Amino acid sequence: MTPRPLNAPVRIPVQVDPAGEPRAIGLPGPQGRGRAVEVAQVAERWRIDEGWWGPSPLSRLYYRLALIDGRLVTVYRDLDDGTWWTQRS
Amino acid sequence: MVPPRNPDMFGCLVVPRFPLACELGDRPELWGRPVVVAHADAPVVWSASPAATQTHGVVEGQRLSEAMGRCPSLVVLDARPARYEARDAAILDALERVVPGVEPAGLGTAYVELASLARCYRSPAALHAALLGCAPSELRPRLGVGPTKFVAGLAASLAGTHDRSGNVAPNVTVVDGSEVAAFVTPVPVTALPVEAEMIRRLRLVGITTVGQLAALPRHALVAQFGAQGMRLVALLDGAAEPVRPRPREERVRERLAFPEPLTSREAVLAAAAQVLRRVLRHPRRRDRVARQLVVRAETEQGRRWESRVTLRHARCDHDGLWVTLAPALERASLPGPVSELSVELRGLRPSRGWQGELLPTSRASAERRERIEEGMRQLRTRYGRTLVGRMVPVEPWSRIPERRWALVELE
Repeated sequence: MTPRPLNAPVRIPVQVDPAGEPRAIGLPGPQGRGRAVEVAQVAERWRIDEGWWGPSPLSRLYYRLALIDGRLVTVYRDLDDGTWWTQRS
Repeated sequence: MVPPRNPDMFGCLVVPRFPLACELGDRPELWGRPVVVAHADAPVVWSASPAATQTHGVVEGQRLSEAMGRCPSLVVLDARPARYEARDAAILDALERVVPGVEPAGLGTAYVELASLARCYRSPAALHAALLGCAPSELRPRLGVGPTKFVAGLAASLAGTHDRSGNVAPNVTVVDGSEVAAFVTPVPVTALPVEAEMIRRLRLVGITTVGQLAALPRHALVAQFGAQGMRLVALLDGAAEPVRPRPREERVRERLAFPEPLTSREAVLAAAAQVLRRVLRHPRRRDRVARQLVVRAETEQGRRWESRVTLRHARCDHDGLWVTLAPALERASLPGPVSELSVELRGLRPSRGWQGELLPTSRASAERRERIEEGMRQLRTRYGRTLVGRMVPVEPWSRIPERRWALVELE
């Protein structure tokens, strides 16, 4: 068995507002069931740029979001291709 | 007939000069004499009697040498903080049996919300008597009632005091909503719940009453006193601050008093082990685990040493707690021979089980190792691999979460 990374990101659908900030997200798994949950507040945001000097650069904009159902989730936008992912941080 | 609900009434129970009141409660013969309470290790007046303040100019915070110079007949009592805290806690407990929410506001002061209580008593006087009865009468408690906590606090500070004509106000002062402006106008600024430095500055510029203060432009107060000024402006404008009840926390405590104070560290440790065993057997613990451990040692002079440890895992096993307790006592610089030792378990909650180590380690017993290895052999036979993984750090410092840890098969 090859080592499997823990906390691997999972792709999610995200609705954004005109400023590009997440407005509603669809969470994976039985709790989310794919339905969109509105974002109540962006609690925190931070950016990670790594490996820009090498062959596989990585650029992510992370958000810690408070959802209207009370959950706190971490999502990020891949700044290379614009896709959204959720991840335990 | 059910009396109408009073929407906004707050009470403030005050024992003026609480440390001194506790001492005079034990020595009533000193009432009316110039008396101060001072810490043994800090020669500064902590609490001064009215006789010392009004006749000799002894004030709190003054150096003891200066106070004794001003008043040669001054009686100086050693402070016993442990005793004051215990009496304060007893008053709060008694109040909580009468009122659902009690907000402590320093030694000997507590705010309560009365709106929901009015209909539980025959008359306001009966309610006031019940509240005053929560503090021992020898401490001479006072009660203020008003439409906000601020007004209730001012009313309590004036209750039972002498006015200029020598009349003594009753122990209870009630201020109705319609009387607030007339009541607060002549109140001296010394009664305000603000820092002493602010009061000193106000008096320096000739502002001695709340009425004079309220006549000032609000922006000037904020410019002079910053955040404190803003809070004061809000209070003067009638802002209602809610009562913030002290959090209720399940706790059990056991103590051991020693007729002969303990001087050696070994004796203190042996006593602590005994108290720990007793608190773990406490019937109110009911197999629950604790989140925090508090150990206190008190001396005959009422001085206290305390150590509070928040446990990494909620637990209630003797060995695990002793590992936390013993080093705290070994390192402690105790304030003197110990006359009482107590151990308290706080944050009690039901045990949700203890997740031990699954994987065989060098510390595991041979039997347990064998059982786990047998289980893994069966998994391998059934699925072709064990399906049991071990977390290994890869780059635990990485900012990218998926690079920190990996799961590898346990073989």
